[in-house]
Amino acid sequence: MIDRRLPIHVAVLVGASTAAYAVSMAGVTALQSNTDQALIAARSPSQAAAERFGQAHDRLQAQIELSASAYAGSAASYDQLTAGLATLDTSLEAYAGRMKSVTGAARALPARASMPSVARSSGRVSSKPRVRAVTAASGKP
Amino acid sequence: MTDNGADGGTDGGTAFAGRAMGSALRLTIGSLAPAATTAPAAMTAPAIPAEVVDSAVAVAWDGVVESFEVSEQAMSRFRDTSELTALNHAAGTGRVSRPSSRLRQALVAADRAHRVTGGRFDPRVLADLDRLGYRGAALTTGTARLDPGLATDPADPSGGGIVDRVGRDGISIARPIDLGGIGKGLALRWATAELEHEGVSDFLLEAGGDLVARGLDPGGGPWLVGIEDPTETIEHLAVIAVSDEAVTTSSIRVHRWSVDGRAVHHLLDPQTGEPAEGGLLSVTVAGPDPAWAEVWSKVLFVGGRAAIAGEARARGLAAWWVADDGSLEMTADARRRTVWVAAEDDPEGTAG
Repeated sequence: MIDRRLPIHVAVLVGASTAAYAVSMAGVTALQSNTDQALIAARSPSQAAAERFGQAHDRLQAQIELSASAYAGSAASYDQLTAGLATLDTSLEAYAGRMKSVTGAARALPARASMPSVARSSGRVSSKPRVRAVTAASGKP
Repeated sequence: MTDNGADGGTDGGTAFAGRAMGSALRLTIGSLAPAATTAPAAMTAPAIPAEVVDSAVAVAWDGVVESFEVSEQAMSRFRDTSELTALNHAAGTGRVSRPSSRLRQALVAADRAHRVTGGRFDPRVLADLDRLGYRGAALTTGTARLDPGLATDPADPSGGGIVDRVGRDGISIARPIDLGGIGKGLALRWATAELEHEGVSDFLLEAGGDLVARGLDPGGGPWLVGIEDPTETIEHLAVIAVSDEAVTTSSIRVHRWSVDGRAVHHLLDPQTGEPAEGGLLSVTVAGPDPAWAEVWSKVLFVGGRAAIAGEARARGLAAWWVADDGSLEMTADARRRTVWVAAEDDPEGTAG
């Protein structure tokens, strides 16, 4: 009869190996856990900086959008100003035409004009004004 | 005083007329609205109803009439019952009188004018006027003759002060006094104060050829006053514009007569007691006060044609005078107030 039972030393070997493996795994796991914690602690400042960078980016984007809106408004105003300048230009052309006609009329005027004589200066009048009273000899009736 | 009352606003201003001190008395009201100012429209006073204004002016006129009556009772030499007549009766007797406030003020003013003019203004010529026939109330009572010593003594024309003060209130005079010209000026001064007290600011108050102008005429301009032609050739020799000034004239056009074939008038030289013969027919003076304008117009008249220009210029007076040849002359200050001169009249307005 064949003895089919596993020899004890094999069983002990297998058990010991398994135990050693388990201990090794536990140690490795512990080591890896410590390493991961250190890595997380090391990466934390960079993460905060990345968050701040993201916020700044959002603000910059909002300002760019405002600037774009203002630019659009300025462009519209410029369009209106352009239209006004065109109107002014038309008015100036019309004014230039009138000036030409005035200049022509001025050239047609005589070089010297005779003015009427001024009767008196400094409040004096040439004809007798109406008086309110008379200063006269005392006892005047 | 009779017939005092309003004569309507026919010439654009409310006017009142009457008589006082032997002369015509007339009040013309100028602009009744608040004087034009540079204040914004929102700050101007609201319009006063016309009835209220008319009533106030009528009250002011009554005040003027009353003031002249009080002045006449105090200072007139033509009224038998006046204070001055009573004082003149006491002249030279040493009798002490206690005059009213107005007569006292008038005597003080006359005394001051006598001193300021170096004796060229002297109201103690009444006896000389009486002697020449220009009489008012009797200088003596009863049948007594006027003492010749009361007239001017050419050897001593000054003869001391005009009044002698006795005690606190008493005065006595040595020679009878005529307050005619200065008295009318003072009456105008007091009546003007009465009008201003009643709130009338624009008016022309005339009393027998002398006047006081205040503010603006009804048209909003200065008051235009004609200077009479003493030769009666034309109506006015010149027209002057005045505001806030008095204008008085000493002239011989009315009060002149003959004595023993000699032409005389009422403007006497206090140095001689005789009518001034300086080649002038009239003198007009404009100034701030009617009493002093009266004094200077008389003094300038007595000084004569030769001296009047220098005297008026030295005193800074606005003076116009008419020489016995009918010509009108004036000082630089007078020229500035003159708006029209008959001798320079240019109906066609062609003068350059």
